Amino acid sequence: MKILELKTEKRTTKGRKAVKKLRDVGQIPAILYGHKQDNVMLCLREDDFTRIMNARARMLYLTFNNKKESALIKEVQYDNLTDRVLHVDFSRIDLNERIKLRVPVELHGESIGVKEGGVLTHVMKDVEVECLPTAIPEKIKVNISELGMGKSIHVKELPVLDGIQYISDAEAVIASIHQVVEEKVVAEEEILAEPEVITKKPKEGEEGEEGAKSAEKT
Amino acid sequence: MRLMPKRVKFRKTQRQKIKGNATKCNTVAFGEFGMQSLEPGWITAQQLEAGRVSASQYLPREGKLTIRVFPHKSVTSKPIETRMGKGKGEPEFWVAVVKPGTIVYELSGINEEIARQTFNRIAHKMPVKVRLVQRRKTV
Repeated sequence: MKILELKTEKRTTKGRKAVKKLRDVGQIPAILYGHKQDNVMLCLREDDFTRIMNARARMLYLTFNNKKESALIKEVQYDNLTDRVLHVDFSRIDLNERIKLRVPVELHGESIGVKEGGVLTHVMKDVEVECLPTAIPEKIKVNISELGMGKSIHVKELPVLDGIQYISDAEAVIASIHQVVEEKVVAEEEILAEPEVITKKPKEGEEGEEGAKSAEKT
Repeated sequence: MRLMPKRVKFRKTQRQKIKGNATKCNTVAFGEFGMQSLEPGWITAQQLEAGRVSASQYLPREGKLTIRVFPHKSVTSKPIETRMGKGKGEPEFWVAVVKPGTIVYELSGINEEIARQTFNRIAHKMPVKVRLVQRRKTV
């Protein structure tokens, strides 16, 4: 994966109101941390970051104050209603150290099970891997054309890639093929039933009966 | 399938205001596509069920629909031609409270075009404005 360069500026302002002003002028607040060095508060242009995200880059060279640091995009916070990026976390990375991160899994081909009438369920959409920052795979392609009915693909069956070690549980299911489960038809009596009220106090008559029963037992 | 709680603490609830945007149940979690509410409102159990049925009639076999909301709230009403007073009415139907940003349905196992058409059919059954959202890329 290519390492792209991103121009950033150091910021001194922090807090809700200050970052809101930044966002209003098309900038995104960000932070750089890691490697037991001081945290650096940054801000970057929104369109620059959109370009980075569209290129599906994970590793970046951040430039600020005539400095250049290699960093990994650790977390991106979104406004889920407007889809705008609210904040970005960068983690300092040495290009020679191995890092752990999640990589998406992509399924390829039409499986035998699906042709027989089964349904494919993609359970695990990304796996955790350990690799060098310069060798981060964009995605892991899995061929499922040999997958039959009732069979599943596990993490241990993922293709072996150079310099990449899978960290996720080896027995975890990536995708499986199963038969279509038909919906149960609920009886009309059940449909009309009201929910049970757990705080309902028993009526006096019921209490009396219960009391009489308990008295009989003793 | 009637959507209604099995057990409740109280049969009747106060109406309450719907304030702010959704802070939970606001990201696509189970599928690849989601139907996001853009307005606050109540979606009744019947509307949720109507949406599910319309989707199941249109979806291909490999498509899977997930309902992300549940009608936990009961709505009461008084019988017609009844004088005011004499206490609160009886529970009539159940609703799910949605805020702007709430993901109502999710779809998986299909492409974007079919997801868009399916959600378009469901949207006609909904009492709130909705839009299609996609699962976010892994970072």
